[in-house]
Amino acid sequence: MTAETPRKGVIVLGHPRSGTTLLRRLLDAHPALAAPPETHLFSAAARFIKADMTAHGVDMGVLAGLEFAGFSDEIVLDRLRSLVFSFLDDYARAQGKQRWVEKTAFDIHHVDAIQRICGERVHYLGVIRHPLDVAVSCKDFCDAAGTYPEGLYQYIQKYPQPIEAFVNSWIDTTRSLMQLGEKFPETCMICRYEDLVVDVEGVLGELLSFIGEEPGPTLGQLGGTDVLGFSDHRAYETDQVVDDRVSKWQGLPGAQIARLAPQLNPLLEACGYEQLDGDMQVDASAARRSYVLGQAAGLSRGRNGV
Amino acid sequence: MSASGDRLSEILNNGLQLGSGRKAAISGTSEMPYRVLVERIEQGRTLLDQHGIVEGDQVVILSEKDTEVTSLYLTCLAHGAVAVILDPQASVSELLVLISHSDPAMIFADSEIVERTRSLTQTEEARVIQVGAEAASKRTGFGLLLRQKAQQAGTMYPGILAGCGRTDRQTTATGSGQALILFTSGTTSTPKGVSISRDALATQMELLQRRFSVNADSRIVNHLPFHHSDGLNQGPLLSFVSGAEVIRPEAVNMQSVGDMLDLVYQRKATHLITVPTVLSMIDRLSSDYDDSFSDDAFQFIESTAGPLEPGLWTRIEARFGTRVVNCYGLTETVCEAMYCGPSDDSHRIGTIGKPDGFEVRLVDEAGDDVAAEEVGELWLRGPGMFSGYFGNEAATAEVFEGDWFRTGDLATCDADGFYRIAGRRKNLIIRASTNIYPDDLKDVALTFPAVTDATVVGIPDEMLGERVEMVVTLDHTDAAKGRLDLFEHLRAGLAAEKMPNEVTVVESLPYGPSGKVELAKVREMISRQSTQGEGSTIDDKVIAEAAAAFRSSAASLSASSTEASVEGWDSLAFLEFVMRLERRFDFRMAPRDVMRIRSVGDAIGIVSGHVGDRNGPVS
Repeated sequence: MTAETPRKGVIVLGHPRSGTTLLRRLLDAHPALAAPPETHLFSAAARFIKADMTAHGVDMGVLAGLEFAGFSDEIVLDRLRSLVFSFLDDYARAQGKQRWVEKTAFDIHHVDAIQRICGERVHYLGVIRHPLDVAVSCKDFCDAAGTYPEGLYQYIQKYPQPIEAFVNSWIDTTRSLMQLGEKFPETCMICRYEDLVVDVEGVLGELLSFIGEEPGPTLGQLGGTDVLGFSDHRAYETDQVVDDRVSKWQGLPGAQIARLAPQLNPLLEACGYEQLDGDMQVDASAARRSYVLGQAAGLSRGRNGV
Repeated sequence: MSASGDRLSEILNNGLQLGSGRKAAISGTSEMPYRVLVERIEQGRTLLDQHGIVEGDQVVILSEKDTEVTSLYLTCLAHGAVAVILDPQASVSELLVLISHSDPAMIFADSEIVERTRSLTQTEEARVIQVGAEAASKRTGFGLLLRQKAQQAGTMYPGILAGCGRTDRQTTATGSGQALILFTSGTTSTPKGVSISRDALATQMELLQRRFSVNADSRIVNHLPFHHSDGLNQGPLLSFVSGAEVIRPEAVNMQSVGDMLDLVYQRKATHLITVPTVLSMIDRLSSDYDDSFSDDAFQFIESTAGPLEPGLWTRIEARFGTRVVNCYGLTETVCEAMYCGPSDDSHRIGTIGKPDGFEVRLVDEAGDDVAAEEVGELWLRGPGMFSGYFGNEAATAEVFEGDWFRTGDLATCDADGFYRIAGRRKNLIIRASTNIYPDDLKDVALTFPAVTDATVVGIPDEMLGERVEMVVTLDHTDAAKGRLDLFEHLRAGLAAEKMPNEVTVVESLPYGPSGKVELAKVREMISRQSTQGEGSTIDDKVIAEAAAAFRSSAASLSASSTEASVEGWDSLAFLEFVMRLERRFDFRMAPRDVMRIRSVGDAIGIVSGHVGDRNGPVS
């Protein structure tokens, strides 16, 4: 961090269920960093500047409107940024800390707008988790919540199988994150959830060093237990980092994994994960037997009131 | 899970319980949460099991990394193995001798040291595990931090622990009864490795906790190196068994001593464990640091490992409004044997206080107790005493009279029972609280082809306690070249902390009728042949003093020479440089000036500012 361009802000980005809340809490425990509960400030700011195109290609959004009134995009973005930062600055000050960390679950769907608003005035810390673990976790979450949050709903509309929908959401957001990293190598660092939970001190130490902070005595502790955000109830409940949520996806049907392999493998390779087996043979009769047995077990549970 | 073991096992198990509510076991320059330390100990025991290490086996630990030495040392103690902690800055030849003498079953060494001692790792039968980080993380083109071998065990410590399950059994070691070996000398073939039993260690830990009121609320700043007992045992071990937190500052020198005091203040430390040389540096700091020990939590400064000059002691206590507890102990007594404080009844400036945990005798040359107030050799006996020198029965027999340990120090005892050090019978120099045995230096000097005779003496010094002066004769007349070449040779054969401050070349050494070198005459020769640098201008004079202090040739130095470009520029040599300038130009350098010297040119500027006429003649 240079004296000319002090970066007070850190934005945590990652697909929902990738460990962004975990990273937020780890950062919040640092004596210099204050991470508020999910504020939705950046997604709101992103909606504010969203273009609204007519069939004729005319932008009816606020940036275009204000431009007609004599306000350049630069001025509007500057004022918008000041507004967003002012809340976060005040929050950090109220916590007695110098810097803020903002993480809201669905900010990842607004990466383009966020980078347009913030540019290199903040640090970006990204988290990537194995896409199938993300998909399984998203499905669990949506089942429990009884809803599909807005960021994921568009994928559910497009893909009838939830796992496939969430995998496609992961592909899009991961590409966005990779583009951000390529564009801002000095201010963007991305880690993998699997590395973070196995070596929390090591990975966190590198992230802190990247944003110009020394690892303190609180390295590896979790902050923010008193604040509930929109999601990530599991991470809020715990007071320690655990690595038992890795590779949960291996319980998925082989046929489904094989179907997703061609789409996922290039990105898996880029992110250092093992590639999926795309040639997995599917035994149709065994699959049908498994399905019937599953139905029978379900009926049996229902009768016994379990 | 039932546990029964010796006393050390008991207090280690107690430490595990105490630690459950603690966050940091070690903090400061390197941090290790307590959770990680416990995990490392439990996994480390499995690792030792896997390599067939059983109770009583020697395990060498050779690392610059505080957290790794801490976890390995405690793992060995919990496992019942004997930890052999060596100086990571020892020369290759010293390490070869010490490791071979230790007869280790396993060696943990920094990768840099393994690289440096390649021949050792190729020939040593013990399994060598490198200490250090696995291959660094890789950042991909889009900024993804890819940890190499994530979720896989590494091959280096501590990464290798990932492949080890946690040994959840409590410590029940009784083993050989030995816990630790620390070497006090050893460039020769007969090194003295002080072998410390588990009981002695437990005794001293219990005593220190009681004497210094160390408990789970304590925060101890201790900057001493871990291959010294006061760094190791009054650091991580005392912290672990008491639930205290040990805070490690950066290496302390004139430029960083203020940072250490900032750490004391900011972290609300309760104890500072230090040595007289560092107190002397603190004494030179500006008044900005006067409130360093003003927090209510702070209890006292412990000064150990060397004689504390009464004037300095009085000034520190008066200026900082805190007590300085002067302690006397040797590696052979594990930690301290005599305490001057912290209670009023045991505190008397100028003395080493009274014994605690040890019985004391003052004995004359015939082995009889001396009369009150008379000088006698200090003998000690107690449960905290070492067991003997490892594999060196002759050296052990030499220092024990029955179960009494002859310290080699001379002392008196006054009517109130306060002991005062009066001199030294053994041939030992204590410079900046490091014990230096002249024979170690002499042996290395005599392996240099041009040296025909050599001796080493200690010369009293205000800041260092003693300076180490080597006097040699050469087989040729080019003394200047011979001196510089000898320094190079010594650097290769000695640990940095043992290097002499000065080498003086003489025509012959003065031998007495008994055939021994007369040290008093040697000291006179040194004072006559003071090696004040040459030079006519201030620039030349400062460079000449730098050359003498850093043991370099003046021709190789310039105003732009810095720590990075001058091989001999370490913290002790830098102190020597400052003191030389003060002596030569007859002024006392202000603390802020000392701290801003980063190059020889900085020193020239400071001296010029003091003297006034930059290039004019100086009287």
